[in-house]
Amino acid sequence: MAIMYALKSSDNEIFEVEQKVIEQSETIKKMIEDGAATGEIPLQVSSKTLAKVLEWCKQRQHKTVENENDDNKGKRKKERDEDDDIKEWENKFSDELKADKDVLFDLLLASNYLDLPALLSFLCQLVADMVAGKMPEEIRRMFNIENDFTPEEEKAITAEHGWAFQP
Amino acid sequence: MASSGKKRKLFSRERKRKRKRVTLRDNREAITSGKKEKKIEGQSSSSSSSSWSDLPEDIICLILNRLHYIDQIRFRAVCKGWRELADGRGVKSLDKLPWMMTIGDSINSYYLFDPSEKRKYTIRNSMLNDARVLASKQGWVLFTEETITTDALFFYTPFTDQIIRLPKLNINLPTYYATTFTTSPVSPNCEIFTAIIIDKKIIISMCKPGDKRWKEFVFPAGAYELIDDIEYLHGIIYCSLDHAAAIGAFNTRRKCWKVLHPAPLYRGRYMEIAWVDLIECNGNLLAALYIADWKRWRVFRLHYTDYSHMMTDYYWLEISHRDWLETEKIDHKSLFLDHTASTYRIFAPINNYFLRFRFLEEEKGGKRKERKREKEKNENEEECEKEHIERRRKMKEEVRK
Repeated sequence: MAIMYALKSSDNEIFEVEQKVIEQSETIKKMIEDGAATGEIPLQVSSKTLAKVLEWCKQRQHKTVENENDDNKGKRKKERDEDDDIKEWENKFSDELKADKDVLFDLLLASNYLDLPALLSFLCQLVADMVAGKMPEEIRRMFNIENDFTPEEEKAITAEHGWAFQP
Repeated sequence: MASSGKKRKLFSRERKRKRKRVTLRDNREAITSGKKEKKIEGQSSSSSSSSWSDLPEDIICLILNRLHYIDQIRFRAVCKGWRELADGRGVKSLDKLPWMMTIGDSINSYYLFDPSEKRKYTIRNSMLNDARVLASKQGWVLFTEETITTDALFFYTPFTDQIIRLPKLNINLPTYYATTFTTSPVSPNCEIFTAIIIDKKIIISMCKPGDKRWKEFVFPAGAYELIDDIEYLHGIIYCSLDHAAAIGAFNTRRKCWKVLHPAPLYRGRYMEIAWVDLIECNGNLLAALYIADWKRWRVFRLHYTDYSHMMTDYYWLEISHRDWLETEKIDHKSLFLDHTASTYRIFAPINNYFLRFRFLEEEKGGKRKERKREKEKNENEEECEKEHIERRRKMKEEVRK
């Protein structure tokens, strides 16, 4: 029987999770190893974000478990199918995040805080893909970022790399 | 200058190789230090009033590492938070191909070419008008602003539009002198060298950024008439003499001169060598010779028998006993060659940007002619470029195997 842990979000919601799933987080793994994880584990992550994090972790966990159970026979084909499935799942996951950038932002911070390297890397790639080929103004609009440069500073930036801002 | 009209024609064109390292520090350092400072406390991710401009440094670096150079520049121009961090941290980029700086359709227009995106960016700086390119390395191009009596040299980087001026050359120079420099001019180790043969004397001039004047060293030239190209490696300035008939070496520390034997490579054996490029490649000295009649390059490597002597006096004593070996392949690198410029490139993703330059030919015949020739060269270069990419792909496959 799998060991379960209770995670408590910052807005006091409880999530019951298998140890294997949540151990992907280096931060929580360390807490468990240190014996600090008794009862509810309080996390500085909102329930909305934590749900997303766990969605990711479960998907990853699912994948590793299946691979362990495989014998070599037909593994190649299965892997290929699985890769397609994962891609499809990841695309859906990305699309949701692209649509809700607040969630994306919170998830970025959460993956950093929980030390989930795979998720962090996935999200950074997502952001990189989103900003690639875009001008600063477009990026600001996309993420609702205020242009906090003074006109002088902005002028200096443009002067330094003027060629890079040619439309 | 004691050279035939033909030689003058061949050697009055400048050419250079260039590497670009944008001022990025060792990435590894940034990553390890970044890991230690994992932000646990105070990084509450629950606040949805969050601002993207407050992203932690670690995350910004991770995003930057997944962007091409051009996107990194734009990313950093979004807001203060994204700009400040990126300055001090080592960031690598996705770019796998060198950026090139070339001359545009009109004489005074330059552009940067991004081979990843196949895009051109126009560069404008009035200092470049009528200036001539001498050398390039680590993203910096050494130009000369020609006046009637002296040459005023300056460094320019197209990436940040910075200029670093050098003192005027002491001698009234003829059209072509070979030039190189050791490293980026913002480095305290940067030294600039020019070499020329005048009246059977080899004159090597040397200065550092910030110097008031050039220092000169004069040696007898013997029967040699021309210096094709020079390159710096391990404290020594190598000079290709008379179409690679011999390689001269100037020890920058001891300020002495020596001619290497055996000389490379082709004298008397083959047809005309039209261009000679000396290229420093990962601690090796390469000589690329363009055989005009064959329309082909041949590349040679100066072969070291004992690397441990590289920086010692013993190395200098033994320098003349080394061989030139013809080389078909350079491990994990490709050599970019054309008539006017050359550089090399490591395949593994690294921080360096390389920069290549193409030059105007300095010949009589007016601007119109020059423009036309420039266009022809453009086409040649495009072909050349395709070839490189193809070759690169092949070599990459080999590496994977």
